[in-house]
Amino acid sequence: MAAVGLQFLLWTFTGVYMVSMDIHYIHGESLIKPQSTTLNLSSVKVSMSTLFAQYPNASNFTLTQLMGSPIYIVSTGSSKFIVDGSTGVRKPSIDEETAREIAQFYYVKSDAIENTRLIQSSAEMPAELSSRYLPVWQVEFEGIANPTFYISQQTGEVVTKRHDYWRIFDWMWRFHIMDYDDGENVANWFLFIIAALGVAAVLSGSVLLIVRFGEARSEHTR
Amino acid sequence: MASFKLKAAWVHKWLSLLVGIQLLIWLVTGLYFNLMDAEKASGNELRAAMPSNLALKETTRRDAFFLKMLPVNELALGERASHPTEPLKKIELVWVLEHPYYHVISRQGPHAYQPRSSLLFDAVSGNRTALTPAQISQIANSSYTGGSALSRPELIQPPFSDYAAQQNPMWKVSANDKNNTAIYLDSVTGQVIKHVNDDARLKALMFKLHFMDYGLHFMDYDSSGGFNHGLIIIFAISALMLSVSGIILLVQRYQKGSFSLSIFSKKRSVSVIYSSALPFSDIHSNSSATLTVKLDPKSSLFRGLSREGIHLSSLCDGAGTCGKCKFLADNHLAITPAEKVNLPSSELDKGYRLACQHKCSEVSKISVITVGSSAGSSAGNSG
Repeated sequence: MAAVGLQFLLWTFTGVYMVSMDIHYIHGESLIKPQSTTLNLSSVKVSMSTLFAQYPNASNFTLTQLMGSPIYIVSTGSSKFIVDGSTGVRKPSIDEETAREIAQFYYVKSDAIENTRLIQSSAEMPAELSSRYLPVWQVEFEGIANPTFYISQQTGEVVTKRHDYWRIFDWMWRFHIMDYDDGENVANWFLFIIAALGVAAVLSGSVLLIVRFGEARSEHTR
Repeated sequence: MASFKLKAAWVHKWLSLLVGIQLLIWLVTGLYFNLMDAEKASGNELRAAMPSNLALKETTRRDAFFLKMLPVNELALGERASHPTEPLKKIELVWVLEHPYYHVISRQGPHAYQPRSSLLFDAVSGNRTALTPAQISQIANSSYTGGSALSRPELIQPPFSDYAAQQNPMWKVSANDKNNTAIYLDSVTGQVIKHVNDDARLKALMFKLHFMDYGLHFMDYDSSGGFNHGLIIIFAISALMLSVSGIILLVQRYQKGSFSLSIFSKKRSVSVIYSSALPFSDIHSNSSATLTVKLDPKSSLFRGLSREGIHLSSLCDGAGTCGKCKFLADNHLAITPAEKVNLPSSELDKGYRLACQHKCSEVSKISVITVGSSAGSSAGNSG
């Protein structure tokens, strides 16, 4: 039962962290500078019909902005690329310099960039990144809680971001569900056994509690 | 230390009264998450796999080149009447039932369930448009593999009991099946957002209980279906204090020797020269009334002997206040404050100590006076 007691401590400690930290803050939403620039349609010189003619394999287009200028994100089913909205010229995939520029453009603070690297395969991927974002530039800032942006090499979008509060949250989650490898499997035997023992502990605890309060009352009446 | 201990016990008792029921709810719902069939609980049992572009046919995609789509800068965006002042953010080309539309977005959060402002334009005519219930029916039908009859689509406003976090209107189509499937679609683009059935509703209820999302919202970061709210923060902190006070009590009891982790500790072998009446036998004599017992090294000598059936005289049951449980040891033992108070210095000098003040691990040969000693008397008969 001492083992259950220790897990109670872990459950409640990790639980306090997870409920008291705003989940949107954990997700690093405050790391992105709010964007107020309007998509300026008068500067868009290329129509989607023209793009269909130019890229017959494409199925979807999204007209959006990259650092304030209009771009089309062209989807061809398996991959994506960007086309300049004003000139209609296909842009090369994002290079290191552009990735740094994008990171600094969208980062809410002005910390310097500490490290930049291109991640192309799941073999070189950190555990915090999902493979659906590959290939991606990892841009690490020098700042409190090690903010990190992941920028799609194909579209230049900031596809995800991390800071230590999120990394800690992930560890809290692992300890909460007692899955210590990848933290994805809630259906593990360890959790089942300890939680079942935990139910027994709470039930026996409530019996003790009733006995205690019963004793206190009989002392009072004596 | 004593007051600290009392505090831990007091805190533990009252906190357990406060959080006890929720603690049980946390554990039982936790067990549910551990054991649930994730596939079933997703609600997608009867959902057809459909790509995000609503199953655009290859022929449609190829022929898109022949469509005369109105360039986006010729769209009559002045018709964004509901939010004329909101800046334009993004225009997506979306395919609905093989026809292209412009989805014009002026406000969108990082998550799809957050409030969004957007309008739909027919990409060919350029007219502001909205999908008809008939089109929604057709999309819902193609996403449903159950074969049961579907209701007419209904455009409904948040909040939704089936999707607490969602803050945008949705189309709802209900299936007349035994699992009460409901299909929810985007109010603007008609994309299937989710299927919900009774399995998914059970899971949602379990989450509601686990997150204490009982609708008593205060101190909310975000007023819907989440776990960042005042009630759960208070309960979580109380439960943490309950755990900490419990661990403190556990450590205190363990140190006191009230219980031991006997599987982990080696027993201590102690020779006990006993006599049932005064005087104490000489500790150095080789008396026949000697018994060797195996004692838990971490428990007090008083408890350890008692567990072996060797009972020493005591009025306070090992609390260190009566000065009755005297023994002699063949090695020198430090004098504790309780012994200073309860034993005359002449006895202390001769090596008398109190059994409740020393651990079994401190001694190897002792001399005691027993009272009603079951083990001692049986050993005496045989010896």
